Amino acid sequence: MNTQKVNFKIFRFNSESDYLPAYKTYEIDVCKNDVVLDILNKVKNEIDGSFSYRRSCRHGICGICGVKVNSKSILACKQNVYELIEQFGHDLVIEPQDTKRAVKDLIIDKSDYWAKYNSVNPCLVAKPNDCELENIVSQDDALRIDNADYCIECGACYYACQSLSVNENFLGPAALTKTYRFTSDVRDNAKQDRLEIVNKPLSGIWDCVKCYACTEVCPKGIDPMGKITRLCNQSFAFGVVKDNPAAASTSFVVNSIQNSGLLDNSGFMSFGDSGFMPQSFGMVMHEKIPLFGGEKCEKIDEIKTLMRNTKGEE
Amino acid sequence: MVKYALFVGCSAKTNTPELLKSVQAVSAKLNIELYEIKEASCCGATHLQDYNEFTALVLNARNLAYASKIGCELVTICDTCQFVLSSANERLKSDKKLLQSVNDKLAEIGMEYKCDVKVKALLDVVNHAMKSAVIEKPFNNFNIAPYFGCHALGSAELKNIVKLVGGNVVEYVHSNSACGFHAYNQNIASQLAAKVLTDAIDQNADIIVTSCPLCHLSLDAKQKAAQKAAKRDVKIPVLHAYQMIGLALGIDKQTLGFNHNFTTKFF
Repeated sequence: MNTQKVNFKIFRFNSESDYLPAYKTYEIDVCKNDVVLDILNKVKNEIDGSFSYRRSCRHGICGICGVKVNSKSILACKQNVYELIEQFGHDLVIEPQDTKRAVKDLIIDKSDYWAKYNSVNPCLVAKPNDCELENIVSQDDALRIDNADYCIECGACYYACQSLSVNENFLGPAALTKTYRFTSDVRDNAKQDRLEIVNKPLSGIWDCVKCYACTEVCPKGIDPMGKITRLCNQSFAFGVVKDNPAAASTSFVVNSIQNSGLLDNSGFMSFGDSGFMPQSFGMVMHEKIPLFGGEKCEKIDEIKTLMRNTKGEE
Repeated sequence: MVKYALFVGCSAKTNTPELLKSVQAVSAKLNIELYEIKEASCCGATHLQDYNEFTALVLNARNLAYASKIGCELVTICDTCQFVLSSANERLKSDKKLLQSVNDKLAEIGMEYKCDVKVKALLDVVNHAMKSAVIEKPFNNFNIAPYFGCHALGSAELKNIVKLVGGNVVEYVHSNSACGFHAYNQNIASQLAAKVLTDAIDQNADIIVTSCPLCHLSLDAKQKAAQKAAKRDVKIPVLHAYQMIGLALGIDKQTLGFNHNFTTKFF
């Protein structure tokens, strides 16, 4: 059988006895059909029995074997190694989803993930007595959930999230996707409460930095970023958006496009912080802010008409 | 001469004039003819989408329809524009029902989008044109860190261009991380920019080049704020990809708009 030799550099750490983590290298022959989990099993069964990692279903359903290979979030049981070789070459670094949270080797402490998951009340709120018959959901209504219910809680998006990497209060894409799963469910009676929770400053939807890392890594193709965008739409539609400065910056964008067809970036960047003022001055000095009125795009009336006529539509 | 419809985008029109200057200079040198879509509106930059996704989609369909009138492929010079316009285009192509409801709205201003436009990054076009270009002033012995940003995953072009102009490509983990432009909280924005800058500097980069004007604003115009957040020296010149290409092709700094950059002390 054709095989390829690959050097796997694997993160090893025991939080009970080690001060610092270490990387151990294992040279392993890889077959065409091998997934990352096969490699982990080989290391544990044939080389070092003390090596620890989480595994269970082997079918991409339980979501427990999430790890990172060369900084890319993957599910160990789904990710083919040959694909990784094509992308990164023959030196692969296998690490836990977040090295700061490592407990033993590839096993991490996911308690903050679950705390945030619980904080969005992840279950349907409905009174069964409200309807005498079965609660039938039409196909169109079911499609609104847009696969948000496919989430297997693997945490790939959460530990890839750029916003979370510098702001630990952020709820993260998984909890927000879960929120959308219920705010888009016609049977749910707690939509307003849910939107209030995700509209809080520093932790909610407005603190997403829109890098799309979550959408890129999701092994189930759920597009958490798209769900966050729709939570923002719903927050405007339900009137939940109030004094939030981030939401004010979105309104600024809307007004700016309505007036000139363009987005005034310098104005956008000065939201949420007065510390930007010296920079604004610098931008004027470098002729990056036009002093006598900005540009407008041609046929601005068309844009005004379209924005007016699509207001309130989904 | 190859012709393209240029979607300039808001940044190049207002806050990064050096980008438009360098794009025009480089395209002229490489025999790429650009027609600006003067009627084009903002792509929404993912923020209009927060307010109403459908409105943003209709405006982008209008942008694409105007490109179709010019009759050639649409090229972008901003990663966020590229990402937003190409994903809008894909959505409209794959969803007939959605296309119909978007066209119903466009009909109110007498327009229709027939899904006949291709969206491309100008960098891709330049990358091909560069293969036969003469490099007058190569960046020999410079360690150049290409910064792709988060909205452009097709990173091969920028890396290849760095090689073509003679620079050493610096590999670093945060080359695809967020720059922080889209964060409303400036503290978070600065911390994200600081991560990119410190990582590139620690990997011995002399220059950072980026293909996205929003990333450029975060790393160049706001470098002082990033320095505060990093609590260490993060001084490094940040150039637009087209400025680097322009220098290599022998175009002078004035034409490439270097006076607009905050961090060009080495040049």
